[in-house]
Amino acid sequence: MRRVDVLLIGGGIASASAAAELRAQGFDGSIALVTRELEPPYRRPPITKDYLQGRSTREDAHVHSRDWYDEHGVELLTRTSVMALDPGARTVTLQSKEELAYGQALLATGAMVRRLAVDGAQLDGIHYLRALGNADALRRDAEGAERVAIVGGSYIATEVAASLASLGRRCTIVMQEQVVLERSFGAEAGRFFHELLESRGVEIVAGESVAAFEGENGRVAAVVCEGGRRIPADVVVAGVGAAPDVMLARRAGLELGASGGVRCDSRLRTSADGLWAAGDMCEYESVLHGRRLRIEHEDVAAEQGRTAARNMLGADEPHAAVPYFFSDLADWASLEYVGPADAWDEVETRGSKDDASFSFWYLSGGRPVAVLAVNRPEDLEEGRRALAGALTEKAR
Amino acid sequence: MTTVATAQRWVCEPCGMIYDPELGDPDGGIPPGTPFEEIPDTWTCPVCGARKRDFVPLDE
Repeated sequence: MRRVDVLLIGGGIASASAAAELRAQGFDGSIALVTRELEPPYRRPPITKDYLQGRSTREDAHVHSRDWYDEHGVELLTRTSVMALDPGARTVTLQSKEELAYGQALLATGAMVRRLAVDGAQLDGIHYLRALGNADALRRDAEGAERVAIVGGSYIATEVAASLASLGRRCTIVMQEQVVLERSFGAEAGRFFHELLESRGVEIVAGESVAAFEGENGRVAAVVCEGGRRIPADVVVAGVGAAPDVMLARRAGLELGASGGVRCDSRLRTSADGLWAAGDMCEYESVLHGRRLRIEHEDVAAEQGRTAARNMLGADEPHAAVPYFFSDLADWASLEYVGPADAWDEVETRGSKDDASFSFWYLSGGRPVAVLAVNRPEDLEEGRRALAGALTEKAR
Repeated sequence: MTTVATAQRWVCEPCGMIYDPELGDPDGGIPPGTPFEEIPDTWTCPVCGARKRDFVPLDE
């Protein structure tokens, strides 16, 4: 059986940054990176933003160029799924049925879309977004569309609505929330983005759940809400959240956490020796926050990949980077956030929403637990430092 | 013959997810042992939400 020193499972930024960190730390053992996609590991944010708008290419999204893997002695296995993992024997079975032994491995299989289980969900014209190929299909479909309905009120839905509206499509957001992004940032901050979307012509139907999709000749024609409202649409995008992809981890018998992710300690070590996790499916014990966290965001995945890589080499360090998030609504507004806060009792505002330059400071017991900034990078950095300090103090 | 048909695995073109009949898609309501042909057309890829017709037979 062939053996590699380090096996990286997953085609996202967590694996790619782990590979880079291993080499940056001087590791000269063998590394293999396995991804089920045709592309080398790529960044997912462009899928709802510039790539969807046709303003960037697949290559632009690659974390490293294809050549980088050769140059750094990283064996890249694309269009290759890991079908089975035996953590006790430290082996995997690839889709080719080849078995591969590893010294240490990183599990970074990411997240999967939440599927809407309503009547009409199989109709043509209904899209989800996870891979670049999904964005290609949506862009092609949206080219000839007059009306696009976007289901959901969080990052994915608002970003897609902004991207497609900026391409001239008439967009309607249908969401359970009253205000977009309120689940992450609260209603007051969310209102800025809500009003921005509306001012750019995006219609928002708030407080509604989807009951069914209506079709004509096999193609979607309308979204029907629980309350009976009917929203005509010839393309629908469902951005209703994601779930950790633990299909492989579950079959391997790894311990899962309350969030459904693979349960890790503060070092990102799973319940199996020599096996680490990073990214969307990693639920870790955050020493900064004093609680278990699972975060679906690019920067967190990249940082976790690096932490796991260093710990594979014996660093024995907790993952302590302050989680950072960003989102762009076309070129209308960009938000940055450090946190995440699960609860707060006070919000302080700096700057002005009227000038589209402001920050929201989420406080708990007088201490910052999150900061949201729009066009205020200096506030964001101050917030990051404050969080690192306050959270560290709390963890003691 | 049934064994051969059941063993055929399919791959999702947009994301590369492999539908293996032995594993099924329990979260999507498809029990292990279900041949791809018997999955309802309403089923979508568990990873990326692509439709059943976006899958192609895996060459092996």
